[in-house]
Amino acid sequence: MAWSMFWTLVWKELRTELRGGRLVASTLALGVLLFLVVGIALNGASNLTADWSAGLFWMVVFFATSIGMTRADVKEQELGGSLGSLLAPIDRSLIFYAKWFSTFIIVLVSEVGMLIAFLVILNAPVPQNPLHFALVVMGGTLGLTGIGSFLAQLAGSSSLRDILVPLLLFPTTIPLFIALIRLTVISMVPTVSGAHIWVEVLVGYLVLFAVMPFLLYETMMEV
Amino acid sequence: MGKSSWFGVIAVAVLGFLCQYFALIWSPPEKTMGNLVRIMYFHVGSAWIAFLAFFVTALFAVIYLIRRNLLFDRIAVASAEIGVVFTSFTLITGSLWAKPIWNTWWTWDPRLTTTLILWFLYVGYLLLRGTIEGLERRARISGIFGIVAFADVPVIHFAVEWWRSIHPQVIDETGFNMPGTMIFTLMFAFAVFFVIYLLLLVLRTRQETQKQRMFLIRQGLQELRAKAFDDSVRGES
Amino acid sequence: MQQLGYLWGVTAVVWLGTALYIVSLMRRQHKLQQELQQVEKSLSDLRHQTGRE
Repeated sequence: MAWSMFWTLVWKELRTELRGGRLVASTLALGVLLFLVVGIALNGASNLTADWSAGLFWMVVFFATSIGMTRADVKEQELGGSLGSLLAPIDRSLIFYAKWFSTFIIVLVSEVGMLIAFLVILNAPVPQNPLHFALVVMGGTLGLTGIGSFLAQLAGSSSLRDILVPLLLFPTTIPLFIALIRLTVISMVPTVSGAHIWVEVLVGYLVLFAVMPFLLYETMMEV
Repeated sequence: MGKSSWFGVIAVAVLGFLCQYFALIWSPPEKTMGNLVRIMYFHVGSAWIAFLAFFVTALFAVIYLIRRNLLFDRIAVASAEIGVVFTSFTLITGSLWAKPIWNTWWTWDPRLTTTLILWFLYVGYLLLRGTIEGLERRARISGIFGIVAFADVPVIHFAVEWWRSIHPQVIDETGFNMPGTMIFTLMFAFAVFFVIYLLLLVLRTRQETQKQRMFLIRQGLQELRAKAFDDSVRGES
Repeated sequence: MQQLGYLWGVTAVVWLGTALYIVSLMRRQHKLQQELQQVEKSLSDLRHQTGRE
């Protein structure tokens, strides 16, 4: 019951996107544009160190997705879809997890494009350990979209929501941000040590923000 | 102002002067830092108050979500605001302390970085709370963010600490053994700040209460006006 | 004593900052007071209006 409900909700979100939600397109465009701007700011970036390019990659990804996430449920609210799912006889945290998962898929798709821009425009070195790198990107996106959709919901009723989502997202995700940059550097240059600490931070962060919504979402969605 | 508030002002002034005297004149200079160590009493004292204030915010947010009494929400926001003020003091005095002894305004010291992130978190909290309509909804949402932010603080701290320990340590902060007079001065400064914190908390909470009452009165007035208009229209027809 | 002037300056940050915060509280209080007067005025206007009819 719960699972079929979960997939229904996920599919609903993805279908909205497929019918011209344009979230992928706008996030991707913003991300690529930011890489371009960063490249210009660094005077035609070439020969960036792994530290620099990993940091820039995640900065652009965080920024682009945090802007995109703000718009994610505007359409749904216009069409009354969110009220409909609130009326469904299910645990409300399930709505959150479904939203998390669908946003994860959407952001992951646009990240593929951003990654190509990153490799091409910034001349970044191809990671020496691609599997490791892919896992880091997936884990990072999972954490980013989790807390991102939580905060987007939270700031949804604020009149400053467009600026508040990034403003709240960046400080809360600092641990994730640091862990992702270090892990990305390690996947680019495998000789750097300390992977296990950052995997711990990443997993700990994911667990924290997977459990907390379960406790707080019911309260948050009270009308 | 009433008699009791004048008494409060005088008491705080006396405590402030004592604090200033203990910190700047009475307590001994330190071996390596000399007189500059005296900044510590103000820097560390306000940092402790800031952390305490944010703890109070999270605590009262939890209590609000359980009991649903708006008073707790008002205490939470008052504490967060004062916390931001004291975090600003911590950052500014820290920067002014770092300049003469480390010859830089800013270092990526874990505690320093965590404090700055904390500042942003709670500025975000205040902005979030200030831009939401509806007393109950505002209280609920800012309460949730208050809890999330506070739960995030230890994670931020450890992450930043590990991050810095992997990099070469520019400044090695070896703890120095404080003599009793220094500990006393630090505790005294903390106590004075704590009294100030409590006073501000009471004042700010009271103001928030008045603000909410004013909001409700205005709402009532609007309804009354609408009713009067209705009646007059009915009377004419 | 060396650097005493600098130290006074640093500690002044805390005291002046607190004073500024209190001033901002007082300003907000003043605004509230004005609002109160406004509400009182519109309430008496309203009473006048309904009294006439």
